[in-house]
Amino acid sequence: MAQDRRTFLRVSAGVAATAAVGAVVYDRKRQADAAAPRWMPSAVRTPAGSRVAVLHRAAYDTAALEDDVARGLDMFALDVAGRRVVLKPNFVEYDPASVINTNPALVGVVAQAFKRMGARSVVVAEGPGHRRDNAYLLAESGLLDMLRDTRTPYVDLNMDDVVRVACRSHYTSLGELWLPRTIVEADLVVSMPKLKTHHWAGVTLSMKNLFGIMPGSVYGWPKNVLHQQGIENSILDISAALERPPFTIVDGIVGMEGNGPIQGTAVQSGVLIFGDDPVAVDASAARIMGVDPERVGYIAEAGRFLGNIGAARITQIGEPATGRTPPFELLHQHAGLRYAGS
Amino acid sequence: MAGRRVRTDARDEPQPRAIPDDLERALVAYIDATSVKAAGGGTSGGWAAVPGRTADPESTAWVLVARARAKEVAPAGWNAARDWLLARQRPDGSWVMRDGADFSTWPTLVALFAISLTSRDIESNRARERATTWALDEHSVTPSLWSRFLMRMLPQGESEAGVVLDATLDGFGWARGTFAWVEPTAMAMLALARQDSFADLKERVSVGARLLADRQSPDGGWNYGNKRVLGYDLPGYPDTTCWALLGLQAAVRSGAMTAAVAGPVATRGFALLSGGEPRRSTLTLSLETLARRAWADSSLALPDNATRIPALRTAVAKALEAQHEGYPMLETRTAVLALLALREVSL
Repeated sequence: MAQDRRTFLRVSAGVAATAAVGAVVYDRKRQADAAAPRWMPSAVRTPAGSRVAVLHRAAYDTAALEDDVARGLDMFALDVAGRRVVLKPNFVEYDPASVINTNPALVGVVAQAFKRMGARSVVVAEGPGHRRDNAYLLAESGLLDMLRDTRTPYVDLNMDDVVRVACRSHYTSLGELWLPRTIVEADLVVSMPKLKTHHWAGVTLSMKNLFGIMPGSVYGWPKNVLHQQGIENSILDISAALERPPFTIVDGIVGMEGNGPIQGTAVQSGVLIFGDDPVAVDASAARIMGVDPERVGYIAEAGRFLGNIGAARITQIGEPATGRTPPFELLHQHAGLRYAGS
Repeated sequence: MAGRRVRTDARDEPQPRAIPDDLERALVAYIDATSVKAAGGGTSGGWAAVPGRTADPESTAWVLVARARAKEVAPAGWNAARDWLLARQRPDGSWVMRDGADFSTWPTLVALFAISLTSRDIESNRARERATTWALDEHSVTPSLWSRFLMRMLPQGESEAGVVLDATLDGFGWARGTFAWVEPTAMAMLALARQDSFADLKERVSVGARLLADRQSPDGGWNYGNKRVLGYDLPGYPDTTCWALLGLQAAVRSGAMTAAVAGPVATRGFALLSGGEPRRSTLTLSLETLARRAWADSSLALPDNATRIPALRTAVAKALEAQHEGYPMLETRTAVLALLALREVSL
């Protein structure tokens, strides 16, 4: 159909105006949707205030670590007598030239500490995300030697029996999650992440470490179903689905910056971080890395219902955290996670 | 022969058992230990990945593979794996790892492969046909036309995520509705290359083999699915590299890919396996032995498998020792693959 220029401009202006109005309406709806709670009341567990302990340690010296771990746990007066404790370190992959995993020496020290505290059982459990060859990871990473030395059992969560658990938040569209029986039946899960950057999520800490509990037998390798649902969405739904929040011990003695969590660079960050509010631990750990937790999508969202992220509601105990650790290098696409103006 | 014993300890700690000195017999004993008692007793309750867990179709299918390929050492009782699998095939022809969790797709590929190796009776053939039909209807996620257009517009063919691969190739993921990954796609090649009389079968195997070739990392090996992310090359892993080599060989054997195309790709893969990181893993050494065996009749210049068998024996012995202490160093499928590799039979 022939169309003169004036008609074209009039129609174009109309279309543009309609589009502009539509965009405003859409943007308001999007903001309203984003602000609307996506969790059930039973998922809310934010305490009135949280405590996070920071201890400085420059190397993985076992004797010194024993002292650190005893001090760190003592600050939270955990009662594990007669209880089943599951340690969930981060053993996603092994590369002899890299520092991907939670240091086995620290895992061993923590296992022994909980045994001394009277735990009925202490089990190390992991569902490695990348490689199905779990035995390879165990042997090559040194974790198997530590397990043998400390007589600590290990469960491969990828092949554990599973339990169906209803989601208490709905960031993914899954509605339910399949969790390993070892995790569901634990009285206390201890998340032991490495202090690392993450090329998709920004940082990987206590909550992201829980991705590793999800069984490969259900979700594949590397937990493809959950990646497809969105890493941040999945982190939130997994954290909310757990009956109890994990206790957290972050291995930040040597962290990873840059292209984490696999191909990043080792950084001597020199900290151990303890806490019973995983959101507060993640927020504090992010700050130590020079990252604003309010700008990390899943941490900010978790701060709305799972725990505290505001510095005013987190009491730092132990040793002063500030100024000891240089800001972590971030991939350029994560430059916006730094504090404004930094 | 007398077995060795390792230390014992408290109730909740790993419990040691006697370790048979005969590795093949020890592997058979381990696989027997993963069998699950049926409700009425007996061993037709399927096989689990590790002792004490729920039976699953993948582990059970590998037991059936062992029965087919290593009859001399695999007990006749392992034929019960066939009945267990057939009884649990879903109406759509698939198997899932965990009842109620309907994501997993790869167990169907393993079960199809196993049944194809062992059984030619009417019931098994029906199960094969249904599983093959299901597999041919199963597609990995590929980008929409719009996404493909955008990817072409980006510099150097990289997507926003910095992924460099031909995402239009249709393979197999670990789970329904997900992206194609190396190991399940290779397993599909092994399974589908053994079928016949299905329309599009050869084309599907051909596309799968092209996908495997496309996903080869710059170092010649295969990572789990991508070869480059966010501008960083991903390294080849030994185990996934072996799976890709097995999948490519299956495609060549079926005529879906020519040796002239697959050969150079495989040569680079084997070169990675011959160098690189030291391999002390039972799974990797078993797969490597099987991959070399699969390509033995090709014109590729491959080191003799004899160079790997001693290392494999050491790895198996160490894995058994740790396993007997209570550490999960073996899965049923690993034990089956090790058994086949030690006997130097083909997969």
